[in-house]
Amino acid sequence: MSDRASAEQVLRRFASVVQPVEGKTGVYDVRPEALLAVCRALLAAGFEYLSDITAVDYIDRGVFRVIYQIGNYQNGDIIVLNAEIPREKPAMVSVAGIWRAADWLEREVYDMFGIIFEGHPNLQRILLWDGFEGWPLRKDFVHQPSPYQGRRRLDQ
Amino acid sequence: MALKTNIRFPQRGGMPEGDPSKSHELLTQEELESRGILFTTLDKLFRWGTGYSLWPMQFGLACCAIEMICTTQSRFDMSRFGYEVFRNSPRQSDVMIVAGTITEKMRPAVELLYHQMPEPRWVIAIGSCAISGGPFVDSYSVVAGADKVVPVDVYVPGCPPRPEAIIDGLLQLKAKLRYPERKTVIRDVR
Repeated sequence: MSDRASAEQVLRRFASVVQPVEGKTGVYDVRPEALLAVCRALLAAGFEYLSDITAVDYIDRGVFRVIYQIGNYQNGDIIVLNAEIPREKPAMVSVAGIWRAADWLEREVYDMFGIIFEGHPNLQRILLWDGFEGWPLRKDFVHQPSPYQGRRRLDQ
Repeated sequence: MALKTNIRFPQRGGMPEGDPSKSHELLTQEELESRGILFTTLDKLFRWGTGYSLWPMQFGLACCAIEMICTTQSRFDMSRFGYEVFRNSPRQSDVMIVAGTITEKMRPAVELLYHQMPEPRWVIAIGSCAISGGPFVDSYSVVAGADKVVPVDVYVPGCPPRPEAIIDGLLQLKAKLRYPERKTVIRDVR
């Protein structure tokens, strides 16, 4: 299992800002301000494939968790980085300068959650149209259906 | 096979007895045609030809498009009815098969494609989403049916409909073309 060891070797250097999640293999909590340095070190260690960026809205705790899945083509290893940012100020550093794949993935997270990725070259909506108001995957998003939408009972 | 409808189809075959000019029986146009007398207008001849050579547009929005593709392939073979010529350009097609969910972002494109098709043109809405928005109608990004965007001639229910149902929808469109005066479309696969 040299593959897992290599990810651990890289992340051991960031022991103050990277904590492995209890009970899960290859999942790490990262402080958001240290994410860029961690990602640069991972890319240098062979983690060339950014598989996905997504987010979860933990409205009870008032945080967004941004999740990065990063793969290594050489040994097939995939690790997951979790970074939590406050809901009041949803700003995150962009990794589009490290992996080009992050361009559209961060645009999608911006589209659905309204998380601002600082340093992104072209942060616009990608799935929804320009002019859409609100962030639909946030838990407090309320959709106002148009008169032509929605299920209506015939007897009301 | 006899159809159980209110409209009486005369039996095929043969001229009526005696000299037709001396007959007091008034025959409708359909009855005359069934007895071998072609009595037509150029418009009707055109619609008869169009019904056998519809050119759908190669255009799919969601999973119903897979069923539309299956319909054209050898197991179901839409080309038996003359509809296999899927055109890549809206300029060359006259039937738009709306196969799938129309999202708000896709709505201008669907509208543009419809207006790019030359007249006469028809629209078939396939599946729950194209009919009314389907299970996604409460969503923040889904248009509640193709008829909010373009005028629809034939609705084919299903989620997704079977290829037989899609073929049936096209045959309904053919019947609508041949008998535009009828309020109720009666399947006529002749």
